[in-house]
Amino acid sequence: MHHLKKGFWMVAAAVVSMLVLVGCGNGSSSSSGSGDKGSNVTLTVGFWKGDSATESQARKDEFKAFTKKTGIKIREKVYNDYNTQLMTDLVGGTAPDIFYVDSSTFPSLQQKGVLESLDSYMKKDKFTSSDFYKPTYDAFKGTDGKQYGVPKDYSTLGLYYNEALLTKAGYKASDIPKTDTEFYKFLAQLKDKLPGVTPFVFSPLLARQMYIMQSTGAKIVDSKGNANLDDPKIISALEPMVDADKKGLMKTFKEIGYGAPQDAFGSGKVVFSDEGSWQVSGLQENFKSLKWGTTELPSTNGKQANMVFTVSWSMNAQSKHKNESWQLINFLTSKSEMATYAKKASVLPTRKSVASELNLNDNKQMAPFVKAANYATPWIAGTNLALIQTRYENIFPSILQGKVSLKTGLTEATQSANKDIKQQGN
Amino acid sequence: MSRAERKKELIQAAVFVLPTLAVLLVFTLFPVVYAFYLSLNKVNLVGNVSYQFVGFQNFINAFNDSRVAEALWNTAKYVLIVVPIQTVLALILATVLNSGIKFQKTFRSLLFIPTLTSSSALTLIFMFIFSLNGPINSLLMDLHVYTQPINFLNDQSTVLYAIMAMNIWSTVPMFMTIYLSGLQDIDSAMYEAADIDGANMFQKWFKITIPQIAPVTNYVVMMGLISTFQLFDQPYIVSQGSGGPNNSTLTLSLIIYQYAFRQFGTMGYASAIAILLTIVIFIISMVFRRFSSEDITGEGR
Amino acid sequence: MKTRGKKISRTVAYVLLTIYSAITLYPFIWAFFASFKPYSEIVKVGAPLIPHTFSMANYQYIFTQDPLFPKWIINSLVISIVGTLINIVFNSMSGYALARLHFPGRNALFMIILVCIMVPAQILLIPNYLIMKALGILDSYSALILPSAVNFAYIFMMRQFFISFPKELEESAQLDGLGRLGIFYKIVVPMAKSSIATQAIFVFLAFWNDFMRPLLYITTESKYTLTLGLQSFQTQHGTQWNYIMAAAMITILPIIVLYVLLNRYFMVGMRIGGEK
Repeated sequence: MHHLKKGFWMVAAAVVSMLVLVGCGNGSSSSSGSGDKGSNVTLTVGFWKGDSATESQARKDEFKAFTKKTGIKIREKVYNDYNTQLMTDLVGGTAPDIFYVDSSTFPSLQQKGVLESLDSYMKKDKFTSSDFYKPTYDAFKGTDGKQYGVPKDYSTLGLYYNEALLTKAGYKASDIPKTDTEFYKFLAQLKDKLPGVTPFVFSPLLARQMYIMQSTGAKIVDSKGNANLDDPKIISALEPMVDADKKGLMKTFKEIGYGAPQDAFGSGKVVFSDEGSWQVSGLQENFKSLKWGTTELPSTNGKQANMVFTVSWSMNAQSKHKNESWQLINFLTSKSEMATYAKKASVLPTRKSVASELNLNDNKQMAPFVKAANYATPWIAGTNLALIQTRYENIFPSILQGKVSLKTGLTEATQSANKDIKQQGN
Repeated sequence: MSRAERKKELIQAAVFVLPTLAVLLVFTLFPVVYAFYLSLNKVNLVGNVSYQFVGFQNFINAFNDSRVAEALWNTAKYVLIVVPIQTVLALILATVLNSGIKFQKTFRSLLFIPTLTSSSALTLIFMFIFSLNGPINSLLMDLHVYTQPINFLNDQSTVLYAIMAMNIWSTVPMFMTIYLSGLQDIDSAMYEAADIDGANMFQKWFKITIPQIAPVTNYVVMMGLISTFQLFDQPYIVSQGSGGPNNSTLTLSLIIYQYAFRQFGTMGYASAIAILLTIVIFIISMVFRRFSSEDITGEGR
Repeated sequence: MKTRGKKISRTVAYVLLTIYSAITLYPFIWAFFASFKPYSEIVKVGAPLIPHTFSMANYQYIFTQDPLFPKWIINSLVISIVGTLINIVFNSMSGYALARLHFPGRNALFMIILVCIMVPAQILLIPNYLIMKALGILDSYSALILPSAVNFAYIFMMRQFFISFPKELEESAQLDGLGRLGIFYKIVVPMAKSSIATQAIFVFLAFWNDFMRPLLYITTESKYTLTLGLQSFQTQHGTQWNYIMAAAMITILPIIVLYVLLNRYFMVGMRIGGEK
């Protein structure tokens, strides 16, 4: 009989705990609901963590300052996996009031009607855009000419160099050539003088090669949003790079057995790396003994070229607190707050006035990144960029290995992408 | 059985399966039906929500999609290599452990450790181990298997096999544990009788162990089939979601993810591929069950 | 002759187990040592396995930099333990019903359960999210436990275990006048201890290692589970391996404890009928 009772007890316990679970759930969700008046408003703000603990802290401080100033409370929603979580949130109608939008995903979000135009709010508050670096600000202009976000910060690519290795090869930082043709010759000299060293490490990513691909006048995506990776101009623009890889002048971090470009450069066995300004804090924290510097990328096909990666604060079109949301965007991207944030988080401000206030143009490490912001190509190319990027990154490593020719590989990737685009009719 | 007894058993059964039914209906069947509905539409679930009925067009597109074909081929290759190896290895290890050796407990605990960590963390550790200058390359070069290190995870001809090794390594202990508890349920009298008849170790294994453990084998193979067909984590991490290099790590689950979460407006197509994948797994499982020793009703033969 | 054969097979068994244990353990030993290394040493190509100097800095960092870390451990423990208890009861009952009880639609139910195991998880994420939202349980422990209150794969596993059990004991108990629940808990469960312990471990692990569900359903940082917390050492452009390795070691610890605790049930070596 004892076992029998125990059995019933266990079933009962399981059933009761299930009921309690449902109960709990209802309780907690009701508290997160509305609260409409004045200072009772709570805004949900969605973002990903970023590159350092100081960046997270700086963001938290900004939110606190905003609540102190306006009485509007803020609930943070951290995106650990932006694609999956934002998609779920948008489908479920649980997306935050304001959230980060990466320039590359902006066109599809805007055209789906997810984002709120900021024009009327900007007009009311006399918000001016002339202080922003134009490429970063225009990245969030919709196809209808309206503004759908304010860039919070940005990064361009810089050329990181290893001081010790340059010295060992008998060069100084000022010897680094300023044009691509000279630069490839320089890499060849370095390879001869420094056996066992990889002259240049890079990432086989569309986001890193787009400015090179477009340097001969073609665009990676045509006006209809179709992939155009197999344009002869693009193929000829990429050729020198593929050749350099095959000759061992430059290698991807994966090809030399590393998990990230930072790790390859940090090993001290690589002379150059083209990376964003985010690598500065990574190198400082993780490779303290390494001596390195940064300079501008060499010109590509006779022109200064670079990429600019930028992220905006944008407003959810479904937000119930649009005025308060605008207040927060306006606050976070204002001169004084952007200066505080950029300084604490060591990120690059999108306002020129803030850049000069922080003396970034004289900052030896940061200046090359800031200079490029004036002419860099934004990481943005129509609504199908994610798809085209996937196909490119799928094939490019095999092209570098010589398993597929550059022309065949890019043609196949383009055809596959365009067939999909046509079928799905995005 | 009398009518009254039958009725009683019906009520008993209802009590036993009710919680399962509830969860099944709410959290699985309903979503599956919804996914099926999506697969017949061209849907946009984000922003301006729209459903446009397209019949079986998504399925037809999937049949004509060379990436889907390639993913199916990769997945099939993966299943055919991984499932037999992991099942046989698990059974051998379980048998050895169960053979009354000393330190059985210690060995079992040690072998169980891989199961304890999430597959994403394991994949990251493995990426170091398989890297160009990692331990696998140094070991094989020390053993003079080859002289130039192989970049396992960056080469389209090796990366899938590296992932297979990872998978076998991490799932064998789990299936071994399941086998072990199955083996301990076999009546030892059967082995004693065989001993009296003078059967040797291998005879006992083939004549007693394998038939007796058949329902567990059934489970192990079925779960192996299902999990390998749904392979996602490792290729996703290794290829950063692209399925590369050159589609060598493209699996059906990865394609589904790409269409469902990386692109807007392709949820219907993603659902169609998911349903096709389910059907493929189902057919193969059913074929397997026909050839296995246990029939569907579980009454034995 | 016979003893010599036995001796050889014993030796083969030990060699086999030792080699396989070494293969199995190597990545963990690697991760264990890595957790005491600074970042630069972990990613350094060709660095020796043993750290240059053992440093507790990584462990210190994760407990001080993320003050919520202990809370995440507790969250994971509560969810996993409650979820496992519920699962053991319901999965075993359903598995038993599918193996032993006769009721109309049993085979259909079994087939549906099998099909449901086969549906790729990616496609259920969004519908499930909508259901969670309708039930109002987003951002709560319930969102993680309720949809996993039963696990079809382990119902299937329990059914497979119960099928091979002899029926005679149950039949004689039935003659003694025990009801079905009585038979189940008095006769069947004690006989299936080892299978249930196996199930418990795997269900616990499934909860403990679950990543996708917490990612989508939990938004408040103080309600994070460990797997989600581990993600915070992954920055946008890189992964802090040193902290991940230390955190992974801490994640594994509670499970090893649980495993050692449950280990004796595996050893019960329940001989059928209980007379051996």
